[in-house]
Amino acid sequence: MKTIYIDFDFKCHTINDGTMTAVETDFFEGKCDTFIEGYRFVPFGETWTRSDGVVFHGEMITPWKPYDELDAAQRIYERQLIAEYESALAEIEKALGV
Amino acid sequence: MTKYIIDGEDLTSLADAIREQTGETGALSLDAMKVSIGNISGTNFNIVGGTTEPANPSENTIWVNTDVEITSWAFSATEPKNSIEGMVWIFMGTSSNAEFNALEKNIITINPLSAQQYVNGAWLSKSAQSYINSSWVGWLKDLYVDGSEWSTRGLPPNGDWKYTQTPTATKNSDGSTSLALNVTGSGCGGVWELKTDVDLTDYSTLVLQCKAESPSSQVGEVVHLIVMNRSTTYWMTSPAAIRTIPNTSAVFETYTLDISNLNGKYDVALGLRWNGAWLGAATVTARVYDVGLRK
Repeated sequence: MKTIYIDFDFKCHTINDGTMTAVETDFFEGKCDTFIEGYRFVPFGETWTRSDGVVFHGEMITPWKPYDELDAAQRIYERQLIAEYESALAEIEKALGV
Repeated sequence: MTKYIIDGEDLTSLADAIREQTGETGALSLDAMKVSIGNISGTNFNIVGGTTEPANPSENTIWVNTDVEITSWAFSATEPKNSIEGMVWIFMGTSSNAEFNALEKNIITINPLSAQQYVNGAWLSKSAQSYINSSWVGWLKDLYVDGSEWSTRGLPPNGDWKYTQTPTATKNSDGSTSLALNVTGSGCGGVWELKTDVDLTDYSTLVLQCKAESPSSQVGEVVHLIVMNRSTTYWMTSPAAIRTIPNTSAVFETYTLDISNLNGKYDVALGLRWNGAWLGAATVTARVYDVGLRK
């Protein structure tokens, strides 16, 4: 489970500025901050009204930024993680002389 | 029965005239007749209720699928201020699958998106269709036709979940299809999904009309409406968007998911996830009435 923070508009944040509500969810497991902060999390029992007037009820987790951008950021983050792991593995193997 | 006479015509004759204009069948109460008269005068449409498709509808007939008498109606982007029992509220948007001109002579373009009816002090979602160009047009782009366009997939679970029923072309007598998902372990896994990806580009909302039925001992099982890439395996941490469906509703309800920031083709699915302390194997049924896209 991961703790994220939602503001008055249910947008997600990774840092609480003191005004936000903490939410525990595994939806963002392994996700980078850019990905998380492009999402909206409407908790069960709450409602959010889109700019065209349509009302949505929670629990709903959906992007408020274009998903393509969030997905691209997440893939870059994952490639960076893989590179770091491979580098760390190489160092270990070197130390072990294997 | 007392007969009321107005200018030599009784109410039976008036009702006959209304039925001839609107295509409605069956008896009409005074309130229903008032609604129909309001429909006919100066407008280019009429609104009817009932649970069976109206026979011989006129152009631009809006059929609201309801067994509660329609006493009045309102087209509004916000909740009507003076709601009365039986009122139908038609929510409008800037575009719709069922756009029509509301007037006989001039133009007021109406883009209906959804219908709700005020019943026992609360607004209840109702499905609706419009009769346009001599055929019925759903307000949703229907993703559910007869079940054959959907299939089940047992994803590598974080647990041991299986589906037990493959959707078939046979619906329940009320038009729904029951999709049973069998729980044998904690986590989440199998889904019921469209066989081919759906292009969400022109649509803002994914709509599901269903009720989730589970044993009272398994209230922790939660049905989810999911939008994801088809390559996703563990869907709970990899979908693009999800909406949870409570297991406690005794009636069909409409659940909506905002997809306005999802462009391109995606897999639309229904999945099951355990949410709470594990209580043992069980079967949870998602009884689906309709799935569709709204502009």
